[in-house]
Amino acid sequence: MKQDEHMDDWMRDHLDDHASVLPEGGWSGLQDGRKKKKRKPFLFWWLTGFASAAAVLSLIWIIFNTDAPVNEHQAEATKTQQEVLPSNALDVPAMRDENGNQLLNSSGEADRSLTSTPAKQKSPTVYSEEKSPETPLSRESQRKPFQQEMWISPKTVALRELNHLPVVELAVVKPDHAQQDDQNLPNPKRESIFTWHGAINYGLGPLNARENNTVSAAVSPGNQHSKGSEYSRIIDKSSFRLHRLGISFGAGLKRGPWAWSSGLRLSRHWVVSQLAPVEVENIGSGSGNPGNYNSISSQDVQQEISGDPARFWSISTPTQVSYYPWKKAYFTASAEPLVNFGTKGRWVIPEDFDPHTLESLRSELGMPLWNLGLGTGFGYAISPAIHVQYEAQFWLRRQFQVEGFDYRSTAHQVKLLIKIPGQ
Amino acid sequence: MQKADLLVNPVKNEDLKLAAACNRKEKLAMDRLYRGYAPKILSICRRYAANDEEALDCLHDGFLKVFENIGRYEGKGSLYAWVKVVVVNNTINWAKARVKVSALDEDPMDEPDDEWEEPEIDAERLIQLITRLPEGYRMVLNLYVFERLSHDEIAAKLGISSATSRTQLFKARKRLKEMWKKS
Repeated sequence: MKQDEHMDDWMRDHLDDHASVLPEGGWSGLQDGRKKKKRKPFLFWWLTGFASAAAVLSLIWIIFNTDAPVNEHQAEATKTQQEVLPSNALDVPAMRDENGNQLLNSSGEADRSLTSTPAKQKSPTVYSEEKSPETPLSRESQRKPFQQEMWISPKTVALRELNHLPVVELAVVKPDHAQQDDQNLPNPKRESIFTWHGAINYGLGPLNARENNTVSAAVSPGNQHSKGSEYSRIIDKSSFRLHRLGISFGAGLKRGPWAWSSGLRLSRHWVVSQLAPVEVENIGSGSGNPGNYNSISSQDVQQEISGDPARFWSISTPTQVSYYPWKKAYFTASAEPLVNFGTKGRWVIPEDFDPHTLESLRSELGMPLWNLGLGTGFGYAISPAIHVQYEAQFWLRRQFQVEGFDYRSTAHQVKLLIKIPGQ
Repeated sequence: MQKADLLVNPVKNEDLKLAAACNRKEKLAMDRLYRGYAPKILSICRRYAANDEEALDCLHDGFLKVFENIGRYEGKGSLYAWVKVVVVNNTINWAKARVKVSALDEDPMDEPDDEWEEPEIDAERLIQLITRLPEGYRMVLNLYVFERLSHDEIAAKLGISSATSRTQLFKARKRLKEMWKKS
C-alpha cells in the first residue's frame, strides 16, 4: 500500500503544478477556434435542411405534376354539350355576335376561330359584388326569357361568355332552394371533402417568439403551391399556385430545448397561376339525369390565367412546437387552421380565357372553406427577433356552405342560376 | 518568477479586481485571467481527456463556465483555486458523461505488483501515459490521486460502487506501471 501512496505522491509532484503550452491567440483565439469547430455541424445541418426542403419540394412537384389515372368517369366523358345540357341551355338567341356570325357550332362547342379574336368590343366580364349589388334573386323578376335555375357545367358558362352572351350571372341560391332541384345531390350544407395541399413557407415567422416568454409580431411571406387531390384529382385536376403574405402576432414560451408559440395571422393571398389541366364535367341537369353529374369530358386544358388574379384574405391561428437541439437551430411542427374569406367576386375573365377552370368559378362564388395545415420545418434564429424558417405544410381542406352561396363542395357541381336577360 | 506564477498566487484584492473586471466582460481582463491560469488548467484537462483536441474542448468549456459564473467569486481563497474548482467540476461532469459503465467493471483484483521504482519520465510523458489509459481507469485515477477524493466519494460522483472504484484504481496503477516500464 505504501508503494501505491508513494506512486501517487510521485505523480502529484510531477503534475500538480505542471503547465501545458497554450495554443496561440489567447482566450479570443481559443473561442474563435471553438466557434469554427462548432460551425461545422451547423453547416452540416443547414445543408441537410436545404436538402430536405429541396426533397420535399421535389416530392410535391412530382405529385402535382403527375397526371391522375384515367378512370371510368373519363371513359364515359365524351358526351357533347348537347347530350348533357338542356336544349334550351344552348338554344339562345344571343348566340350570334353583332355581325350575325354564329358562335356555337352544331355540337354546342364554341367556335374558337370566331371567338379567339381579341374582343376589344367588350371588356372582360367582371363578376363582382360591386357590379351586382342586388342579389340575383331580387332581380329575377327583371330578367326574362332564359330564366332557368339549373345545374350547369362551367363549360356552359364559358361558352356563353365566349359567345358574348349579354350577362351570365352567377346566382346566389339559397340552399333550401337548391335542394328542391335534385334530391340526389348531396346536401351542400353537410357535404365536405378533404383534400390535401402541400405548401412551402419560407421567410420570417410565422412566429418568432421562441426566446423565453415573449410577445412578438412577424411578417410571414410564403409561397404556396396547391393541388387538389383525392376527389378533385380525378375530377378537375385543379391546381394553382399562390403567394401569401401575412402578418402575425403571437406569444411564445420556451423551456429548455422546447418552445411553443401561437398567434393570429392575417394573410393576403394572390393566385399567381393556374396550372391545372382541367377536365370539364358535364352536368346533365337538363336531361333530368342526375347520373350525369359525375360524367366528365376528357378535355385537358392547361392554361395560365392572366388578368386580374384571384385574391383573398385568410385568417389563421398558427401554433408551433419547436425543438432546439442546438442553441439557434430548431426543428418545428405546426398546425394552422385557416379560414378564407373575402373571396367573392374579383375574378376578371379576359376574352381569351377558357374558364373551364373550376377554381375560377370557385373564386367567383367565393371560396368559403377552411383548412387545417399540418407542417414541419427547419428554422434558424439569426437573432431572437429574426428567424428563418422553411416549412412544408400539408393542408387538409374542408369546404363548407356559407349562407348565401350555393356552393357545392364537390367542386365541379356548382349550382348556378343562369339568367340571360331578354333580347 | 514567471507571469503565470504571479497570477496563481495573487493578492486577494487583485483577484477580486480581476474577477470584477471579468464579470464586466472586459476583454483584457478575461484574456489576462485566461493566460495566467489556462496553462495549468490545460494540464488538468489533458489528464482527463483522451487527446489534445478533447482537452482544448474541455479547457474552453471550463473557462466559459468560469466567465459565466465569475460574479460568484467572493474572495474566499485565491481566484486560481476557485477557477480550478470550477473547471475541474466541469471537467468531471464532462468526463463522467463519457465514461462507459462497462468500463467500470468489478473484476477481482490481482495480486499486488512487485516493488515500484520511480520511473525516469517527465511530466509531459506522464500526462501522455495517463491519457492512454482506458476512460474508466483514467477517471478514477484522476479523482483519487489528483483531486484526492476517497473511494466512497468517487463512487457517489460516478454512480458506481466503492469496490469498483478500488478495482479501477488498482488496474490503472498496474497499467501505468506497465506502460512506463515499456517506455
